[in-house]
Amino acid sequence: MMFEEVKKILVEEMQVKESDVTLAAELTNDLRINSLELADMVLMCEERFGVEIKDEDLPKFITVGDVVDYLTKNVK
Amino acid sequence: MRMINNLKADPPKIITDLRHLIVSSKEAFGEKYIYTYKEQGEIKNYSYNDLLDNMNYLGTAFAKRGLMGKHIAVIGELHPGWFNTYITTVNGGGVIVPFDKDIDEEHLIDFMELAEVSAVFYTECCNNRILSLADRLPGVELFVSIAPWSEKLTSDKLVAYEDLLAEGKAHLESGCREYLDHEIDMEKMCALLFTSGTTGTSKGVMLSQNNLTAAVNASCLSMSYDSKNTFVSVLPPHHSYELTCGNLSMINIGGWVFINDSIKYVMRNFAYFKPNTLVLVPLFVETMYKKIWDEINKKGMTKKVKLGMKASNALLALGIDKRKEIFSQILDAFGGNLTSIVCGGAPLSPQLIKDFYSFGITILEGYGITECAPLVAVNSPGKIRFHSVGQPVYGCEVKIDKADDEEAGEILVKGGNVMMGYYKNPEATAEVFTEDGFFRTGDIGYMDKDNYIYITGRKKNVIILSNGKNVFPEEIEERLSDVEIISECVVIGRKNENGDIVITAIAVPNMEKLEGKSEEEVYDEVKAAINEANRHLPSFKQVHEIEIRYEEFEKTTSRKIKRYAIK
Repeated sequence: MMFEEVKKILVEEMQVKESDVTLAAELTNDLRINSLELADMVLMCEERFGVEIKDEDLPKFITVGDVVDYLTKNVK
Repeated sequence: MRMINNLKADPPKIITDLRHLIVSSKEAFGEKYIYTYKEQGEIKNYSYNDLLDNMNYLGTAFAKRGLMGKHIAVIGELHPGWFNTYITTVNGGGVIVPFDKDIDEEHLIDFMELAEVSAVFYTECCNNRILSLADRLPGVELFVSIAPWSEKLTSDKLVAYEDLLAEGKAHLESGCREYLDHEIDMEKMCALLFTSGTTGTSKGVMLSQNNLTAAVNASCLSMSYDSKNTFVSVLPPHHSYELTCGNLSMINIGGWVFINDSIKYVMRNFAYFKPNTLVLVPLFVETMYKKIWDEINKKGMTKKVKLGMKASNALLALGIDKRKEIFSQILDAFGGNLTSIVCGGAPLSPQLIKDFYSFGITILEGYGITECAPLVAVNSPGKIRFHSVGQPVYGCEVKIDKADDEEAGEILVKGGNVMMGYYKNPEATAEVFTEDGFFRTGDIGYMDKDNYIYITGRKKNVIILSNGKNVFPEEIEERLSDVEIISECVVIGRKNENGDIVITAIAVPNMEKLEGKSEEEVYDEVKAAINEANRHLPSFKQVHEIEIRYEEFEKTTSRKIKRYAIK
């Protein structure tokens, strides 16, 4: 399940508390991830799922759910 | 309290104008690479010879097409073609107008019209956007694609950058000397930089060759750059900070610049390109710092590293520097050669600066403002004071406008780097200059007995984020004013518990539209509406905190919200 995969990246690589990761959690506001860390996270998603995410799409990722939706739609 | 700082150190090279910068660097560094960059999956290089040759080719194409002396816009990520557009324009009597690649379309059109732009150069990331705007920019005679492989050129108004270079080269070889013989007017405007915001709040900063030349000389003198400098460029090139302290200064000293290709690859590019110098804003430095400690903690080495820092600092006090050996694993994450980071935009914590120093990386905090091209002060290597942004740079006179019984006041600046004024806005220009010709920065601070400057606040509403971006609250408020369920809104920068400035909207809900809703429901609806508005804003302008208040904001007699009364 995509949510579980994204959660794994957030918890293991970004040191986010597991219980804080919900679909509605906002990356910047709730999980305290800055734009540079978000870019880093996106790179990890690209590598793990073999998908390319353009820099200009980064602002669209406000919640964990946005990342999950994007990956669900774009990962083959 | 005033002073002029004249450093005695020998500079690598003092330039007389920006053509001299390119010509003298070609003579001194010739085949050496100035830029290394990734393009279409390949690593490419660009030498000091290329800098001069391509400037003369493009300049001659400008001469042939009647573009010398015109206003030329450039938009996109840093690329040798981006820089060549900049340097060719300023050295050919024209005016370069660099734009933020994240600017929204409506403002881009407004600014281009205001700036009377005749040609637009754009890099790959802006291909589709610029072409879709072409019909709405009747004043633009020429659109030049710096990455033409990714699009089809279909109109006479469109030309590929490489074709323009070839055209200029042919004319140059057939004897056209108009660009080569152009005499530079040091007093004339050569760069027009729009400060962030809307057309209503933004001002066009007019810089001359005098300003830019003074800024480059001051930057090289104050930061002890030399030709061994290798640098990764990560900040956007339209920022005068990146352009002056990064690109123009690196060219002057014979440095080597690696162009970061995406924010996603920043950390990897540091490891790959192994820079010894970086010009950054706090966001990057703070993230690097966090990564270092996360990695140390993950490996369970916190205690060991802290002990190592103590031992290393003790040795350092005795004049023995073992930092590279002791902390090689930490330094390897940034390539292993990094020794200094110039950082401006917002203050860093002294602990962070001390820790970096213990690991072998010196952080030089500075202070600049676009109107001063931009460097005003910086902590020079070996002369660092915590909390301070350093001493005024070479040729820059700074004084504090304050009453006798106050410690701090507005920071005033005079010097070759201070702008000519605001474009087509004599009233705004008059407001920021004192009778004796000092520029009013709008920043509040004080100077100690050794002329180190300390910033304590700002007069304007602008919010400065840790990534160095300036956010004008009025622009976000304007967008939120369209939200029906919000009757009034003020946007401010609030510090969170991590010390980061967070864009916060204080909203007064429109209870007519939200009648019967509980406080929680009101919050959720306002939050959803603001999140929706966020999707139309660049990420750095998005609102991240929301506060609801049920009382109307206090107003002045002219019905303006009293911002200063908001806590």
